[in-house]
Amino acid sequence: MVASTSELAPSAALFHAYPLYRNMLDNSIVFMYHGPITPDLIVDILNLIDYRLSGSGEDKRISKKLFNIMVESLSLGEDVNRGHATLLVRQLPYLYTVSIGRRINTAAVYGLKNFIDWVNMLSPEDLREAYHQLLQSPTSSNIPTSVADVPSISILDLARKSSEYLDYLFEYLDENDAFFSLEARIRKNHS
Amino acid sequence: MEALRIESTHKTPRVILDPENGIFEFSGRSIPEDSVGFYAPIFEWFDRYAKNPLPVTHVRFDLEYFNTSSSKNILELLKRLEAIHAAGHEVRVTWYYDEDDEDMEETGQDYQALLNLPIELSVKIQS
Repeated sequence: MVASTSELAPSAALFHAYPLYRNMLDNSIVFMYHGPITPDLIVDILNLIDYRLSGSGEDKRISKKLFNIMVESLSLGEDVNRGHATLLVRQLPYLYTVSIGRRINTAAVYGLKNFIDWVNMLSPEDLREAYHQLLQSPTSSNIPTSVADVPSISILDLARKSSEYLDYLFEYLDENDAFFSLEARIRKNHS
Repeated sequence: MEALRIESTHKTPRVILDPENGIFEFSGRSIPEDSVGFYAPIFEWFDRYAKNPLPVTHVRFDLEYFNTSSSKNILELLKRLEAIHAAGHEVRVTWYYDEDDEDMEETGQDYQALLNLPIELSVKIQS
């Protein structure tokens, strides 16, 4: 039975509040954002995260790493042409995850998947070398500078910072658009 | 040569390039909306400075955080300093990082590896 303090039927939006709260709690989601990602908003989100982390008692090295991964993840979510993106931060007993999701063209799914698979196979040294190549001379490198409007160097940067494989998911929305989610992990015992 | 001073914003670093007082500093955050546009006048300033640099140029980077778009521009900036150094002028770079920020330290190491330029990595003194 649904209890309401009003004699009138409650707003339909209220029915979403508890399931959303429950979903966040059950999945250890400590921060969620959905909407356009602009540089101003990135600063606001980072300030909020910084505030929450500073009062959380989390190890400063882990907090800093989580923060740095969020900086790059948010940059990946910036896309003025395709509108909204979704950012999720999960806090599990042994790790944090930062996921960024945004729409991409379906034609780009294959290339992007292959690129992330390739990045996940690189050793730390090869990752560093690939990052250096793109940083120093992107046009002469045999690594593409971007895949599906996603800067390759950002993906390499996330892989280096997290020191873990990057997880991803593509959901086909229609024949033109797919939703791309990329997750970076930060182990709490990171060394 | 006239100094270039850019005040920091919540998205861009404070920049002081002041040869008269021997101060060359970048501090704060760097996630500008238009990274190329922000760094362009700094590149132009260094291109003019390179024609008649001080005997010793000591540049300090004390950045809080930045994205990869900015890191490319910082590399371009350091390449200009490398050219001044290669022309026989003394150039030193100090790259400050928080002792808990291994990514900022690693970025400094990246620049050390990519450039023929004396870059000293230095832990920030906590106030």
